[in-house]
Amino acid sequence: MEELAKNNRRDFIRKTVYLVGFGALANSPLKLFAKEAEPKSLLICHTNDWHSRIDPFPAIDKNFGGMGGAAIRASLLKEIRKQEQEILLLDAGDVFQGTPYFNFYGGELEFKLMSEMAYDCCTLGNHDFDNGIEGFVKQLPYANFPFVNANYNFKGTELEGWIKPYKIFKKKGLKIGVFGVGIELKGLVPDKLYGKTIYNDPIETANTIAAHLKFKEKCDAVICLSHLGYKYNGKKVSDEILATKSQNIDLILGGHTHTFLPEPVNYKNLINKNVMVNQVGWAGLRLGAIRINFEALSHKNLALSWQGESSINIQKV
Amino acid sequence: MYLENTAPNMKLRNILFLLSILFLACQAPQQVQSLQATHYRVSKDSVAADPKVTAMIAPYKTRLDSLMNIDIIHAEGEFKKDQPEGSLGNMVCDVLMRYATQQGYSPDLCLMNNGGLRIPVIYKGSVSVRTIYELMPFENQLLLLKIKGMKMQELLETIAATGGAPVAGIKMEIDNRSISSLTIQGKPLDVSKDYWVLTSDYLANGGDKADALKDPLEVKDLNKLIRDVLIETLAAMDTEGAHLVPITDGRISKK
Repeated sequence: MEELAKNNRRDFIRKTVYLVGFGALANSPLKLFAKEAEPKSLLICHTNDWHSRIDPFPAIDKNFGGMGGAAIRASLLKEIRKQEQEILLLDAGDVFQGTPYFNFYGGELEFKLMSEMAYDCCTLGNHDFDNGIEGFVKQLPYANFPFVNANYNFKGTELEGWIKPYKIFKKKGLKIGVFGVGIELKGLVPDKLYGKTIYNDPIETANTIAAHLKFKEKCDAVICLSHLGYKYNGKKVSDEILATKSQNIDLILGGHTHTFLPEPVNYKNLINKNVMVNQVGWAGLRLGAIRINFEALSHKNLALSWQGESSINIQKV
Repeated sequence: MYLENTAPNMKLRNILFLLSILFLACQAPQQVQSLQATHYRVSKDSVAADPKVTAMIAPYKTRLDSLMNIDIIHAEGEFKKDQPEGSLGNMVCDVLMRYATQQGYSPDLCLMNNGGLRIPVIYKGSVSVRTIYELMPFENQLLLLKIKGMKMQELLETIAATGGAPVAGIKMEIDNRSISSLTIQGKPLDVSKDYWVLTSDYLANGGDKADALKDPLEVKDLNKLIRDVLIETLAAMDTEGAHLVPITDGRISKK
């Protein structure tokens, strides 16, 4: 028995050496092993510009009559979770303002419902400042999920310490970095509402944070939650400009312009790698779902961003 | 062959080395290979409402319904947000002008911003308190600002450049984003004169590129939310038997 074990061990070593040797010829010794592992994937669900639309639109509304509603979205998410076990659920800001729910309750119910739906993370939109910094802080106890923004400096405001530049989520054995960028508040939000909040350049900030998430934190994917807006006439910074002037971001989930993109748009980033931008209108009328498929990264084929193709499979909406 | 001649501890080291490679391979960092997207429509046609969420909303909804589902006036037609002018923006400014006049003021211009009208349309039928809350959800105050004629010109040029805004009190024609003809309260603009502008504190603070409204000569705060002014004035109009008729009268037009 002992002899057999010894022989087997020798056998194993010989075979392994052979495999490694063969692998080296194939220019990527680790690929042989990595390929045997189950390919990983994670579904990212997202919303933007909910604007306190807790109830479905009234039947009289010619565009959206009977559509939307938090209770329907919650059901839809439950169905998705049944199939996926784990998802990452994100919101790109402007949860607040637009129906009397916000005027009377200040966003309390919105945060309670997002907590119930198990949102993982949210960024801030300009309307989330509509009751001032203190109005937002007042509702934080109702949110059991974190808020991210990297280009607003809240030092010296009541929000200092509450908003993180990014959060890292570990789902299905994957490490996903999520950071937020917000729109310039001056001229858009009354000065007194955002107080001492300082706006920093979103592109510069995004590049710094994305590089940190990719290389220091070694995230498998980097997602930007943006409230910059999809695109504008002129030079105003937008998701489109962010996509083309940044690197190390895989996916930009946007808001602010209430754009119903019929499908996500792919851009080439600063170093000619793919980055996807998506936005799903407003008012909780759509739920975006983006599946990120992964492959093991070998040391030889280390890529900075994904090179594969994106396929878009849109459910008839 | 060389393996067989190696000392056992060397073999062990080799095994450990190979095992660690195997381990690393399994733990290898992942990279994004592809993305696939689906957009779901949030609709009761596909799934039923979640009972727990419905129950969470219920107490909030019950209280709000009792305050919001109150009809205030009848709309004779559809009011639309539009540029260079829209019946919705016209109605809002006309109602605000009516209120200011009743309060004893005589503004030359009422100016609001399209971004501040938060629903694109008011349908024919009853207009409720909820409708006005959704049209004007912001806690914006109504102000009267006295500005110089030069500033008035600057303000109207900005409006022309941006394709039109909700107004009352003027008639202006825009040609390729600049003013081609203009009257204020039926008279041509006099840059040496001062003008009163009825507007929101949002615009008065320079919101939506209304920089010409900054540093006015005088400010009168009417101490009322624009939303409340609309609700009260429309309710009073209804009591008087007035109906709400959509109007587009070319107050801002394009050449």
